[in-house]
Amino acid sequence: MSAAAIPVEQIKTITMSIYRFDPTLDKKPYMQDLVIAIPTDKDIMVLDALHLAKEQEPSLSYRRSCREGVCGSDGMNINGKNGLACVTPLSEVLKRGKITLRPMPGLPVVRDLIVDMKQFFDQLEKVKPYLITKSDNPDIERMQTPEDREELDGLYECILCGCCSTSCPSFWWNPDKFLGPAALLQSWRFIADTRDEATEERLDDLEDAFSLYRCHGIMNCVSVCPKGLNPTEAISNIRNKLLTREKN
Amino acid sequence: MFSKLGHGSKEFLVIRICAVLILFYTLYLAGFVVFAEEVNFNRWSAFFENPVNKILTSLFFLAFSVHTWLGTWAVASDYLTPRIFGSMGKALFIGFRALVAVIIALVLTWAIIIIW
Repeated sequence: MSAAAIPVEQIKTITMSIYRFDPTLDKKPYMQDLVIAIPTDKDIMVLDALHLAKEQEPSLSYRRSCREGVCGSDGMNINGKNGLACVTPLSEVLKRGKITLRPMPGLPVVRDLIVDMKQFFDQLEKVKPYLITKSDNPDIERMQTPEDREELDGLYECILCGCCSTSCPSFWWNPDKFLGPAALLQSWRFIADTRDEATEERLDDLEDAFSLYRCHGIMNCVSVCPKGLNPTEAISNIRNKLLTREKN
Repeated sequence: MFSKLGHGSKEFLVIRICAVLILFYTLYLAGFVVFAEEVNFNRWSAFFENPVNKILTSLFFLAFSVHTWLGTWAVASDYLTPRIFGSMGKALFIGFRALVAVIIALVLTWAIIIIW
């Protein structure tokens, strides 16, 4: 959608206050206000508004891909709360004609709204987010009952956008030691999977003072998850499993 | 069972057991104040002369000390780090821990002397 394509009688203007930082040009970050024209006859998403802003300011940088809440690329801080720009209607976040966009907090900024996700994915890697089996491969696939499969609902849907971990104060302060809600949700996804055969090893890896136990139940992760998932509950399930397992 | 738990699990349980002990003692003491006909010096002294109350009060201060020691470690390891304070981070952390240790030792010693 181009601003020029909208008839004049069907537009209104809004102000987008956007975090700008180009490490090759700027000594420090600053907020830039861009006034853009948006249509009045329909609601648009924050990502659409960003596209309009980029027409004005071509150097504006952000990640995006699927534009329908599946790829998890456009996680950002919208009016102080993390979310996906592509599935956040502008009407829900516009306050007195203004919206403020910043990069997800806690991670190094590469440029403008783009953050370096390395710390996030390093933590994900630690929980081994894949099925580990030790027994011989069966003739056909590894089977699950429908009930066992249901245990994974609310876990497998995570798109790794990073909204939860970057809204978690415990992750801000110790991103190298505390795994963060996204990685812990994935950890529980495989601990809860009846086909996985490395439960004890997975639990052993989480029993230090930081990896899991640095979660203080703040629940920002639940509040911001664009897929409506509940990492705090997953963390609580892991903790219960750790405290009640019979260790040899 | 407890001895087989990992470091994080042990700490998680200890800090919560201490919190429950602190809560029960606070309610117990509040119950005494609320339900006593009159709280004067004699009643207050008699309350703390009771050996059961001496033990409970000592337990409270012990739980309070452990809870404070572990709780302030969690706070310090969030905020007093090289990540935030650069080269000063480690010194600040150690300084804060030493200060907390001194305060806990003083409070605990003083409390035990007063109670017993």
